Amino acid sequence: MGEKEAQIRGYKDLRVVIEIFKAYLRTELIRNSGFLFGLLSLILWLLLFLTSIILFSSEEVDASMVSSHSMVAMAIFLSYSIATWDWAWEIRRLGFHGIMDYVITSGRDFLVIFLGLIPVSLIWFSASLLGSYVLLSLLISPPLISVVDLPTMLVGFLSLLLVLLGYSMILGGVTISTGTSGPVMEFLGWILPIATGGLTPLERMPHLVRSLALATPFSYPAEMIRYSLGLANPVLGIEKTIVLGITYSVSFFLLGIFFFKRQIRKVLIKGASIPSMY
Amino acid sequence: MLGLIRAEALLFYAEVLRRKSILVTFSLFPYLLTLLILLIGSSAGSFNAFESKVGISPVPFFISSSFVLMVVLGVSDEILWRPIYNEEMGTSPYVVSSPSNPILRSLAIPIPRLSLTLVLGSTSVLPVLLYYFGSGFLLESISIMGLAALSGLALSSLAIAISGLATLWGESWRIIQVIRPLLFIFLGVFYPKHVMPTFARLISSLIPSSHTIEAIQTVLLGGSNILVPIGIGVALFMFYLPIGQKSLSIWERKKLRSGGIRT
Repeated sequence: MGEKEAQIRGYKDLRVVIEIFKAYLRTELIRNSGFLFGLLSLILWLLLFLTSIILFSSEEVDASMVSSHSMVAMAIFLSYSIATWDWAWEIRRLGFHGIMDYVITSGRDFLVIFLGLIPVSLIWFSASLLGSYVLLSLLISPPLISVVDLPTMLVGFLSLLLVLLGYSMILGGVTISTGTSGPVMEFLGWILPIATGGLTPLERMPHLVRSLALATPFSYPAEMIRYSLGLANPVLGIEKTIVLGITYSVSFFLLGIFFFKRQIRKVLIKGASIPSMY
Repeated sequence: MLGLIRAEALLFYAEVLRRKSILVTFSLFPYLLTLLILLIGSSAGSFNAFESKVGISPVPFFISSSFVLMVVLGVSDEILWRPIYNEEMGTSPYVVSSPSNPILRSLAIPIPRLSLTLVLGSTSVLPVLLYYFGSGFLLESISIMGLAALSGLALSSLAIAISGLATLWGESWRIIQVIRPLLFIFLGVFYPKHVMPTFARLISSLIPSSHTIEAIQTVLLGGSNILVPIGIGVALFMFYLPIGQKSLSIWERKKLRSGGIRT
Protein backbone atom coordinates (compact mmCIF):
# COMPACT_ATOMS: atom_id res chain seq x y z
CA MET A 1 0.00 0.00 0.00
CA GLY A 2 1.38 3.40 -1.00
CA GLU A 3 1.78 6.27 1.45
CA LYS A 4 -1.16 8.19 -0.02
CA GLU A 5 -3.41 5.12 0.02
CA ALA A 6 -2.47 4.49 3.65
CA GLN A 7 -3.30 8.11 4.46
CA ILE A 8 -6.73 7.85 2.76
CA ARG A 9 -7.39 4.59 4.60
CA GLY A 10 -6.39 6.29 7.86
CA TYR A 11 -8.84 9.17 7.25
CA LYS A 12 -11.60 6.72 6.38
CA ASP A 13 -10.94 4.72 9.55
CA LEU A 14 -10.99 7.92 11.61
CA ARG A 15 -14.32 8.84 10.10
CA VAL A 16 -15.65 5.38 10.90
CA VAL A 17 -14.42 5.76 14.51
CA ILE A 18 -16.26 9.10 14.82
CA GLU A 19 -19.45 7.65 13.35
CA ILE A 20 -19.25 4.65 15.70
CA PHE A 21 -18.73 7.02 18.64
CA LYS A 22 -21.76 9.09 17.63
CA ALA A 23 -23.88 5.97 17.17
CA TYR A 24 -22.98 4.54 20.59
CA LEU A 25 -23.39 7.92 22.25
CA ARG A 26 -26.91 8.21 20.86
CA THR A 27 -27.86 4.59 21.63
CA GLU A 28 -26.35 4.25 25.08
CA LEU A 29 -26.58 7.69 26.61
CA ILE A 30 -28.94 9.99 24.72
CA ARG A 31 -31.82 7.90 23.33
CA ASN A 32 -34.78 7.45 25.67
CA SER A 33 -32.89 9.02 28.61
CA GLY A 34 -30.45 6.08 28.54
CA PHE A 35 -27.87 7.96 30.58
CA LEU A 36 -30.34 8.75 33.34
CA PHE A 37 -31.73 5.21 33.53
CA GLY A 38 -28.26 3.67 33.43
CA LEU A 39 -27.00 5.90 36.22
CA LEU A 40 -30.08 5.26 38.30
CA SER A 41 -29.68 1.50 37.86
CA LEU A 42 -26.02 1.66 38.86
CA ILE A 43 -26.73 3.77 41.94
CA LEU A 44 -29.43 1.33 43.04
CA TRP A 45 -27.10 -1.68 42.65
CA LEU A 46 -24.43 0.15 44.65
CA LEU A 47 -27.05 1.03 47.24
CA LEU A 48 -28.04 -2.64 47.53
CA PHE A 49 -24.49 -3.58 48.53
CA LEU A 50 -23.54 -0.42 50.42
CA THR A 51 -26.50 -0.66 52.77
CA SER A 52 -25.28 -4.10 53.84
CA ILE A 53 -21.73 -2.75 54.30
CA ILE A 54 -23.10 -0.09 56.67
CA LEU A 55 -24.27 -2.87 58.98
CA PHE A 56 -20.58 -3.58 59.71
CA SER A 57 -19.78 0.02 60.64
CA SER A 58 -18.34 0.76 64.06
CA GLU A 59 -17.02 3.93 65.65
CA GLU A 60 -13.48 2.54 65.90
CA VAL A 61 -12.93 2.80 62.12
CA ASP A 62 -12.37 6.22 60.46
CA ALA A 63 -15.39 6.79 58.19
CA SER A 64 -13.54 8.91 55.62
CA MET A 65 -10.87 6.21 55.14
CA VAL A 66 -13.62 3.60 54.69
CA SER A 67 -15.20 5.88 52.12
CA SER A 68 -11.90 6.43 50.26
CA HIS A 69 -11.16 2.68 50.09
CA SER A 70 -14.73 2.03 48.95
CA MET A 71 -14.38 4.68 46.26
CA VAL A 72 -11.22 3.05 44.83
CA ALA A 73 -12.86 -0.40 45.06
CA MET A 74 -15.86 0.93 43.14
CA ALA A 75 -13.64 2.57 40.51
CA ILE A 76 -11.80 -0.72 39.90
CA PHE A 77 -15.04 -2.71 39.94
CA LEU A 78 -16.68 -0.29 37.50
CA SER A 79 -13.76 -0.43 35.11
CA TYR A 80 -13.79 -4.28 35.11
CA SER A 81 -17.50 -4.09 34.61
CA ILE A 82 -17.08 -1.80 31.58
CA ALA A 83 -14.53 -4.18 30.07
CA THR A 84 -16.90 -7.10 30.57
CA TRP A 85 -20.29 -5.57 29.77
CA ASP A 86 -19.41 -2.76 27.33
CA TRP A 87 -16.50 -4.20 25.41
CA ALA A 88 -16.57 -8.01 25.58
CA TRP A 89 -20.38 -8.07 25.61
CA GLU A 90 -20.39 -5.85 22.52
CA ILE A 91 -18.57 -8.58 20.62
CA ARG A 92 -21.21 -11.03 21.86
CA ARG A 93 -23.94 -8.62 20.74
CA LEU A 94 -22.44 -8.38 17.25
CA GLY A 95 -22.66 -12.19 17.01
CA PHE A 96 -26.12 -12.33 18.57
CA HIS A 97 -27.59 -9.85 16.08
CA GLY A 98 -25.75 -11.26 13.07
CA ILE A 99 -23.75 -8.04 12.58
CA MET A 100 -20.38 -9.72 13.02
CA ASP A 101 -20.41 -11.22 9.52
CA TYR A 102 -20.75 -7.72 8.06
CA VAL A 103 -17.93 -6.36 10.24
CA ILE A 104 -15.65 -9.19 9.09
CA THR A 105 -16.52 -8.77 5.41
CA SER A 106 -16.01 -4.97 5.62
CA GLY A 107 -12.31 -5.77 6.09
CA ARG A 108 -11.99 -3.30 8.99
CA ASP A 109 -10.24 -4.17 12.19
CA PHE A 110 -12.43 -4.77 15.26
CA LEU A 111 -10.21 -2.25 17.04
CA VAL A 112 -12.03 0.48 15.08
CA ILE A 113 -15.24 -0.43 16.91
CA PHE A 114 -13.42 -0.33 20.24
CA LEU A 115 -11.91 3.08 19.45
CA GLY A 116 -15.38 4.47 18.90
CA LEU A 117 -16.78 2.77 21.97
CA ILE A 118 -14.05 3.67 24.50
CA PRO A 119 -14.88 7.44 24.73
CA VAL A 120 -18.53 6.56 25.45
CA SER A 121 -17.36 4.16 28.18
CA LEU A 122 -15.11 6.87 29.63
CA ILE A 123 -18.02 9.33 29.79
CA TRP A 124 -20.07 6.65 31.52
CA PHE A 125 -17.18 5.79 33.88
CA SER A 126 -16.78 9.44 34.94
CA ALA A 127 -20.52 9.83 35.59
CA SER A 128 -20.58 6.55 37.55
CA LEU A 129 -17.66 7.68 39.70
CA LEU A 130 -19.44 10.93 40.43
CA GLY A 131 -22.60 9.00 41.35
CA SER A 132 -20.55 6.72 43.64
CA TYR A 133 -18.92 9.74 45.27
CA VAL A 134 -22.28 11.33 46.04
CA LEU A 135 -23.70 8.04 47.34
CA LEU A 136 -20.70 7.39 49.61
CA SER A 137 -20.83 10.97 50.88
CA LEU A 138 -24.49 10.56 51.77
CA LEU A 139 -24.27 7.09 53.31
CA ILE A 140 -20.83 6.99 54.98
CA SER A 141 -18.63 10.08 54.64
CA PRO A 142 -17.14 12.12 51.74
CA PRO A 143 -14.14 10.13 50.39
CA LEU A 144 -10.76 11.82 50.87
CA ILE A 145 -9.14 11.97 47.44
CA SER A 146 -5.60 13.37 47.45
CA VAL A 147 -3.11 12.51 44.71
CA VAL A 148 0.35 12.02 46.22
CA ASP A 149 2.09 10.69 43.09
CA LEU A 150 0.58 11.86 39.78
CA PRO A 151 2.97 10.03 37.37
CA THR A 152 2.32 6.72 39.13
CA MET A 153 -1.39 7.39 38.95
CA LEU A 154 -1.24 8.01 35.19
CA VAL A 155 0.86 4.87 34.65
CA GLY A 156 -1.64 2.96 36.82
CA PHE A 157 -4.64 4.08 34.78
CA LEU A 158 -2.86 3.46 31.46
CA SER A 159 -1.88 -0.06 32.57
CA LEU A 160 -5.44 -0.66 33.72
CA LEU A 161 -6.76 0.40 30.31
CA LEU A 162 -4.35 -1.96 28.50
CA VAL A 163 -5.13 -4.86 30.82
CA LEU A 164 -8.87 -4.36 30.42
CA LEU A 165 -8.64 -4.11 26.63
CA GLY A 166 -6.63 -7.35 26.57
CA TYR A 167 -9.11 -9.00 28.91
CA SER A 168 -12.13 -7.92 26.87
CA MET A 169 -10.56 -9.20 23.67
CA ILE A 170 -9.82 -12.57 25.25
CA LEU A 171 -13.34 -12.76 26.67
CA GLY A 172 -14.87 -11.56 23.39
CA GLY A 173 -12.70 -14.03 21.45
CA VAL A 174 -13.90 -16.91 23.62
CA THR A 175 -17.49 -15.73 23.14
CA ILE A 176 -17.43 -15.68 19.35
CA SER A 177 -15.63 -18.99 19.04
CA THR A 178 -17.58 -20.97 21.65
CA GLY A 179 -20.83 -19.01 22.08
CA THR A 180 -20.11 -18.92 25.81
CA SER A 181 -22.79 -17.63 28.08
CA GLY A 182 -23.56 -14.60 30.26
CA PRO A 183 -22.98 -16.25 33.67
CA VAL A 184 -19.35 -16.93 32.73
CA MET A 185 -18.89 -13.26 31.91
CA GLU A 186 -20.74 -12.21 35.01
CA PHE A 187 -18.68 -14.63 37.11
CA LEU A 188 -15.43 -13.26 35.71
CA GLY A 189 -16.69 -9.72 36.25
CA TRP A 190 -17.13 -10.50 39.95
CA ILE A 191 -14.24 -12.85 40.70
CA LEU A 192 -11.53 -10.76 39.05
CA PRO A 193 -11.87 -7.65 41.22
CA ILE A 194 -12.22 -9.80 44.34
CA ALA A 195 -9.35 -12.21 43.69
CA THR A 196 -6.87 -9.77 42.19
CA GLY A 197 -6.80 -7.05 44.80
CA GLY A 198 -9.31 -4.77 43.11
CA LEU A 199 -11.46 -4.38 46.20
CA THR A 200 -8.91 -4.57 49.00
CA PRO A 201 -5.17 -3.78 48.98
CA LEU A 202 -2.94 -6.85 48.53
CA GLU A 203 -1.14 -6.08 51.82
CA ARG A 204 -4.38 -6.90 53.65
CA MET A 205 -5.03 -10.15 51.80
CA PRO A 206 -3.95 -13.66 52.85
CA HIS A 207 -0.57 -14.78 51.41
CA LEU A 208 -2.07 -17.40 49.11
CA VAL A 209 -4.56 -14.98 47.53
CA ARG A 210 -1.83 -12.35 47.31
CA SER A 211 0.42 -14.71 45.33
CA LEU A 212 -2.46 -15.63 43.04
CA ALA A 213 -3.30 -11.96 42.49
CA LEU A 214 0.32 -11.10 41.67
CA ALA A 215 0.36 -13.87 39.06
CA THR A 216 -2.31 -11.98 37.10
CA PRO A 217 -1.83 -8.63 35.35
CA PHE A 218 -4.89 -7.16 37.12
CA SER A 219 -3.35 -6.56 40.54
CA TYR A 220 -0.54 -4.18 39.46
CA PRO A 221 -2.65 -1.26 38.17
CA ALA A 222 -4.82 -1.42 41.33
CA GLU A 223 -1.69 -1.36 43.51
CA MET A 224 -0.29 1.65 41.60
CA ILE A 225 -3.58 3.60 41.81
CA ARG A 226 -3.92 2.97 45.56
CA TYR A 227 -0.31 4.00 46.16
CA SER A 228 -0.74 7.19 44.11
CA LEU A 229 -3.71 8.14 46.31
CA GLY A 230 -1.78 7.43 49.51
CA LEU A 231 -4.14 4.62 50.53
CA ALA A 232 -1.78 1.61 50.61
CA ASN A 233 1.77 0.49 49.87
CA PRO A 234 2.36 -2.09 47.13
CA VAL A 235 3.58 -5.42 48.55
CA LEU A 236 6.40 -5.59 45.98
CA GLY A 237 7.52 -1.99 46.46
CA ILE A 238 6.52 0.79 44.07
CA GLU A 239 9.45 0.61 41.58
CA LYS A 240 9.09 -3.13 41.05
CA THR A 241 5.30 -2.79 40.80
CA ILE A 242 5.60 -0.12 38.08
CA VAL A 243 8.14 -2.09 36.01
CA LEU A 244 6.24 -5.38 36.32
CA GLY A 245 2.90 -3.63 35.84
CA ILE A 246 3.92 -1.96 32.56
CA THR A 247 5.54 -5.14 31.21
CA TYR A 248 2.64 -7.34 32.19
CA SER A 249 -0.09 -4.99 30.91
CA VAL A 250 1.58 -4.46 27.50
CA SER A 251 2.15 -8.23 27.12
CA PHE A 252 -1.41 -9.01 28.16
CA PHE A 253 -2.78 -6.45 25.69
CA LEU A 254 -0.72 -7.94 22.85
CA LEU A 255 -1.81 -11.44 23.90
CA GLY A 256 -5.43 -10.27 23.78
CA ILE A 257 -5.02 -8.94 20.20
CA PHE A 258 -3.24 -12.13 19.11
CA PHE A 259 -5.91 -14.37 20.69
CA PHE A 260 -8.79 -12.36 19.24
CA LYS A 261 -7.35 -12.39 15.71
CA ARG A 262 -6.85 -16.16 16.00
CA GLN A 263 -10.52 -16.59 16.97
CA ILE A 264 -11.60 -14.45 14.00
CA ARG A 265 -9.57 -16.73 11.71
CA LYS A 266 -11.36 -19.72 13.28
CA VAL A 267 -14.73 -18.04 12.73
CA LEU A 268 -13.84 -17.49 9.06
CA ILE A 269 -13.25 -21.22 8.69
CA LYS A 270 -15.97 -22.66 10.93
CA GLY A 271 -18.54 -19.84 11.23
CA ALA A 272 -19.54 -18.01 14.41
CA SER A 273 -21.32 -19.77 17.30
CA ILE A 274 -24.66 -18.28 18.33
CA PRO A 275 -24.38 -17.02 21.92
CA SER A 276 -27.04 -18.25 24.31
CA MET A 277 -29.53 -15.94 26.02
CA TYR A 278 -27.91 -16.41 29.43
CA MET B 1 -50.50 -26.19 32.50
CA LEU B 2 -48.56 -29.47 32.75
CA GLY B 3 -47.78 -29.31 29.04
CA LEU B 4 -46.44 -25.77 29.43
CA ILE B 5 -44.27 -26.76 32.39
CA ARG B 6 -42.97 -29.76 30.44
CA ALA B 7 -42.10 -27.56 27.44
CA GLU B 8 -40.41 -24.98 29.68
CA ALA B 9 -38.50 -27.74 31.51
CA LEU B 10 -37.32 -29.31 28.26
CA LEU B 11 -35.92 -26.00 27.02
CA PHE B 12 -34.38 -25.11 30.36
CA TYR B 13 -32.69 -28.46 31.06
CA ALA B 14 -31.45 -28.70 27.48
CA GLU B 15 -29.76 -25.32 27.96
CA VAL B 16 -28.28 -26.23 31.35
CA LEU B 17 -27.00 -29.60 30.15
CA ARG B 18 -25.63 -28.10 26.97
CA ARG B 19 -23.83 -25.32 28.81
CA LYS B 20 -22.72 -26.81 32.09
CA SER B 21 -20.77 -23.65 32.80
CA ILE B 22 -24.12 -22.03 33.69
CA LEU B 23 -24.63 -24.54 36.49
CA VAL B 24 -21.09 -24.21 37.82
CA THR B 25 -21.07 -20.41 37.83
CA PHE B 26 -24.59 -20.31 39.30
CA SER B 27 -23.42 -22.51 42.20
CA LEU B 28 -20.41 -20.32 42.87
CA PHE B 29 -22.34 -17.05 43.01
CA PRO B 30 -23.56 -17.24 46.65
CA TYR B 31 -19.94 -17.64 47.74
CA LEU B 32 -18.79 -14.78 45.52
CA LEU B 33 -21.41 -12.34 46.78
CA THR B 34 -20.73 -13.34 50.40
CA LEU B 35 -17.00 -12.93 49.91
CA LEU B 36 -17.47 -9.51 48.31
CA ILE B 37 -19.60 -8.18 51.17
CA LEU B 38 -17.46 -9.71 53.91
CA LEU B 39 -14.26 -8.32 52.39
CA ILE B 40 -15.53 -4.76 52.08
CA GLY B 41 -17.59 -5.03 55.27
CA SER B 42 -14.60 -6.13 57.37
CA SER B 43 -12.59 -3.11 56.20
CA ALA B 44 -15.54 -0.82 56.97
CA GLY B 45 -16.06 -2.11 60.49
CA SER B 46 -16.29 -5.40 62.33
CA PHE B 47 -18.23 -8.65 62.39
CA ASN B 48 -19.19 -7.90 66.00
CA ALA B 49 -20.84 -4.62 65.00
CA PHE B 50 -22.85 -6.50 62.39
CA GLU B 51 -23.87 -9.16 64.89
CA SER B 52 -25.04 -6.60 67.43
CA LYS B 53 -27.24 -4.89 64.79
CA VAL B 54 -28.69 -7.92 62.99
CA GLY B 55 -28.46 -10.56 65.71
CA ILE B 56 -26.50 -13.16 63.73
CA SER B 57 -22.96 -13.62 62.46
CA PRO B 58 -22.50 -12.15 58.94
CA VAL B 59 -21.22 -15.40 57.38
CA PRO B 60 -24.41 -17.52 57.76
CA PHE B 61 -26.52 -14.41 57.16
CA PHE B 62 -24.90 -13.46 53.85
CA ILE B 63 -24.51 -16.99 52.50
CA SER B 64 -28.27 -17.46 53.04
CA SER B 65 -29.08 -14.01 51.63
CA SER B 66 -26.88 -14.52 48.57
CA PHE B 67 -28.46 -17.92 47.98
CA VAL B 68 -31.97 -16.45 48.23
CA LEU B 69 -30.97 -13.58 45.94
CA MET B 70 -29.75 -16.02 43.30
CA VAL B 71 -32.94 -18.10 43.50
CA VAL B 72 -35.19 -15.05 43.24
CA LEU B 73 -33.01 -13.51 40.52
CA GLY B 74 -33.16 -16.75 38.51
CA VAL B 75 -36.95 -16.55 38.43
CA SER B 76 -37.58 -12.81 38.18
CA ASP B 77 -34.95 -12.23 35.49
CA GLU B 78 -36.39 -14.95 33.33
CA ILE B 79 -39.89 -13.47 33.56
CA LEU B 80 -38.82 -9.84 33.22
CA TRP B 81 -36.55 -10.37 30.23
CA ARG B 82 -38.67 -12.96 28.38
CA PRO B 83 -40.72 -10.46 26.29
CA ILE B 84 -37.51 -8.66 25.31
CA TYR B 85 -35.78 -11.94 24.48
CA ASN B 86 -38.72 -13.00 22.30
CA GLU B 87 -38.56 -9.62 20.63
CA GLU B 88 -34.85 -9.98 19.86
CA MET B 89 -35.16 -13.57 18.66
CA GLY B 90 -38.16 -12.74 16.45
CA THR B 91 -40.38 -15.24 18.29
CA SER B 92 -42.90 -12.65 19.61
CA PRO B 93 -45.44 -13.27 16.80
CA TYR B 94 -45.46 -17.01 17.61
CA VAL B 95 -45.90 -16.32 21.33
CA VAL B 96 -48.78 -13.91 20.72
CA SER B 97 -50.53 -16.29 18.31
CA SER B 98 -50.13 -19.27 20.67
CA PRO B 99 -53.50 -20.61 21.92
CA SER B 100 -52.15 -21.12 25.47
CA ASN B 101 -53.20 -18.86 28.34
CA PRO B 102 -50.56 -16.08 28.72
CA ILE B 103 -50.60 -16.05 32.52
CA LEU B 104 -50.20 -19.84 32.71
CA ARG B 105 -47.41 -19.60 30.17
CA SER B 106 -45.60 -17.07 32.37
CA LEU B 107 -46.28 -18.99 35.58
CA ALA B 108 -44.71 -22.10 34.01
CA ILE B 109 -41.40 -20.24 33.64
CA PRO B 110 -40.20 -20.42 37.28
CA ILE B 111 -41.17 -24.02 38.05
CA PRO B 112 -38.34 -25.94 36.31
CA ARG B 113 -35.88 -23.24 37.35
CA LEU B 114 -36.74 -23.69 41.00
CA SER B 115 -35.40 -27.25 40.87
CA LEU B 116 -31.98 -25.60 40.71
CA THR B 117 -32.65 -24.35 44.24
CA LEU B 118 -31.82 -27.85 45.43
CA VAL B 119 -28.45 -27.81 43.65
CA LEU B 120 -27.66 -24.26 44.73
CA GLY B 121 -28.83 -24.82 48.31
CA SER B 122 -26.96 -28.06 48.81
CA THR B 123 -23.71 -26.48 47.60
CA SER B 124 -24.00 -23.23 49.56
CA VAL B 125 -26.51 -22.83 52.38
CA LEU B 126 -26.49 -26.44 53.56
CA PRO B 127 -22.71 -26.92 54.06
CA VAL B 128 -22.11 -23.45 55.51
CA LEU B 129 -25.04 -23.50 57.94
CA LEU B 130 -24.25 -27.05 59.08
CA TYR B 131 -20.63 -26.03 59.62
CA TYR B 132 -21.71 -22.99 61.64
CA PHE B 133 -24.60 -24.37 63.67
CA GLY B 134 -23.95 -28.13 63.61
CA SER B 135 -26.02 -31.04 62.29
CA GLY B 136 -28.92 -30.01 64.55
CA PHE B 137 -29.61 -27.23 62.07
CA LEU B 138 -30.35 -29.63 59.18
CA LEU B 139 -34.12 -29.21 59.30
CA GLU B 140 -33.81 -25.43 59.48
CA SER B 141 -31.38 -25.44 56.53
CA ILE B 142 -33.79 -27.49 54.44
CA SER B 143 -36.67 -25.19 55.39
CA ILE B 144 -34.57 -22.19 54.30
CA MET B 145 -34.11 -23.88 50.91
CA GLY B 146 -37.86 -24.48 50.67
CA LEU B 147 -38.66 -20.91 51.67
CA ALA B 148 -36.19 -19.61 49.08
CA ALA B 149 -38.03 -21.57 46.38
CA LEU B 150 -41.31 -20.14 47.68
CA SER B 151 -39.78 -16.63 47.53
CA GLY B 152 -38.94 -17.14 43.87
CA LEU B 153 -42.43 -18.41 43.12
CA ALA B 154 -44.11 -15.67 45.16
CA LEU B 155 -42.35 -12.96 43.18
CA SER B 156 -43.49 -14.38 39.83
CA SER B 157 -46.94 -12.71 39.72
CA LEU B 158 -45.47 -9.27 40.50
CA ALA B 159 -42.68 -9.85 37.96
CA ILE B 160 -45.28 -10.79 35.31
CA ALA B 161 -47.19 -7.57 36.08
CA ILE B 162 -44.00 -5.50 35.76
CA SER B 163 -42.80 -7.23 32.57
CA GLY B 164 -46.06 -6.44 30.74
CA LEU B 165 -46.37 -2.88 32.04
CA ALA B 166 -42.73 -2.12 31.25
CA THR B 167 -43.47 -2.59 27.54
CA LEU B 168 -45.51 0.62 27.70
CA TRP B 169 -42.12 2.30 27.80
CA GLY B 170 -40.44 2.38 24.36
CA GLU B 171 -37.31 0.48 25.34
CA SER B 172 -38.56 -1.62 28.23
CA TRP B 173 -35.11 -3.01 29.06
CA ARG B 174 -34.05 0.40 30.35
CA ILE B 175 -36.87 0.55 32.87
CA ILE B 176 -36.34 -3.12 33.85
CA GLN B 177 -32.70 -2.36 34.62
CA VAL B 178 -33.89 0.17 37.18
CA ILE B 179 -36.68 -1.98 38.60
CA ARG B 180 -34.45 -5.04 39.20
CA PRO B 181 -32.11 -3.50 41.81
CA LEU B 182 -35.00 -1.57 43.33
CA LEU B 183 -36.87 -4.84 43.88
CA PHE B 184 -33.84 -6.44 45.50
CA ILE B 185 -33.31 -3.51 47.85
CA PHE B 186 -36.92 -3.65 49.05
CA LEU B 187 -36.89 -7.44 49.29
CA GLY B 188 -34.74 -6.94 52.38
CA VAL B 189 -32.44 -9.71 51.34
CA PHE B 190 -29.15 -8.00 52.28
CA TYR B 191 -30.53 -5.23 54.46
CA PRO B 192 -33.21 -6.88 56.62
CA LYS B 193 -36.66 -5.35 56.77
CA HIS B 194 -36.49 -4.83 60.54
CA VAL B 195 -33.58 -2.38 60.23
CA MET B 196 -35.10 -0.44 57.28
CA PRO B 197 -36.58 3.03 57.78
CA THR B 198 -40.41 3.09 58.03
CA PHE B 199 -41.13 4.27 54.45
CA ALA B 200 -38.84 1.58 53.01
CA ARG B 201 -40.47 -1.03 55.24
CA LEU B 202 -43.89 0.00 53.91
CA ILE B 203 -42.81 -0.37 50.28
CA SER B 204 -41.09 -3.65 51.13
CA SER B 205 -44.33 -5.00 52.61
CA LEU B 206 -45.99 -4.72 49.18
CA ILE B 207 -43.58 -7.26 47.66
CA PRO B 208 -44.73 -10.85 48.22
CA SER B 209 -41.25 -12.35 48.58
CA SER B 210 -40.17 -9.82 51.20
CA HIS B 211 -42.42 -11.69 53.65
CA THR B 212 -41.04 -15.14 52.82
CA ILE B 213 -37.52 -13.71 53.09
CA GLU B 214 -38.48 -12.33 56.48
CA ALA B 215 -39.50 -15.89 57.39
CA ILE B 216 -36.05 -17.12 56.30
CA GLN B 217 -34.38 -14.53 58.53
CA THR B 218 -36.65 -15.58 61.41
CA VAL B 219 -35.49 -19.20 60.98
CA LEU B 220 -31.86 -18.05 60.90
CA LEU B 221 -32.34 -16.10 64.13
CA GLY B 222 -33.84 -19.16 65.81
CA GLY B 223 -37.47 -17.99 65.70
CA SER B 224 -40.43 -20.14 64.75
CA ASN B 225 -43.21 -17.68 63.89
CA ILE B 226 -43.07 -18.06 60.12
CA LEU B 227 -46.63 -18.98 59.18
CA VAL B 228 -47.93 -15.39 59.25
CA PRO B 229 -45.28 -13.96 56.85
CA ILE B 230 -45.69 -17.00 54.55
CA GLY B 231 -49.46 -16.44 54.52
CA ILE B 232 -49.06 -12.73 53.68
CA GLY B 233 -46.57 -13.60 50.92
CA VAL B 234 -48.97 -16.10 49.34
CA ALA B 235 -51.90 -13.66 49.64
CA LEU B 236 -49.89 -10.94 47.90
CA PHE B 237 -48.89 -13.41 45.17
CA MET B 238 -52.60 -14.08 44.54
CA PHE B 239 -53.33 -10.33 44.63
CA TYR B 240 -50.86 -9.60 41.81
CA LEU B 241 -52.09 -12.45 39.58
CA PRO B 242 -55.02 -10.55 37.97
CA ILE B 243 -52.77 -7.50 37.56
CA GLY B 244 -50.27 -9.77 35.81
CA GLN B 245 -53.04 -11.11 33.57
CA LYS B 246 -54.09 -7.57 32.66
CA SER B 247 -50.49 -6.54 32.10
CA LEU B 248 -49.92 -9.43 29.66
CA SER B 249 -53.10 -8.48 27.78
CA ILE B 250 -51.71 -4.95 27.38
CA TRP B 251 -48.48 -6.41 26.01
CA GLU B 252 -50.35 -8.70 23.59
CA ARG B 253 -52.62 -5.90 22.37
CA LYS B 254 -49.59 -3.75 21.77
CA LYS B 255 -47.99 -6.56 19.80
CA LEU B 256 -51.08 -7.11 17.70
CA ARG B 257 -51.42 -3.41 16.95
CA SER B 258 -47.84 -3.24 15.74
CA GLY B 259 -48.03 -6.50 13.80
CA GLY B 260 -46.19 -8.40 16.55
CA ILE B 261 -42.82 -7.38 15.21
CA ARG B 262 -41.73 -4.51 17.41
CA THR B 263 -42.69 -3.27 20.87
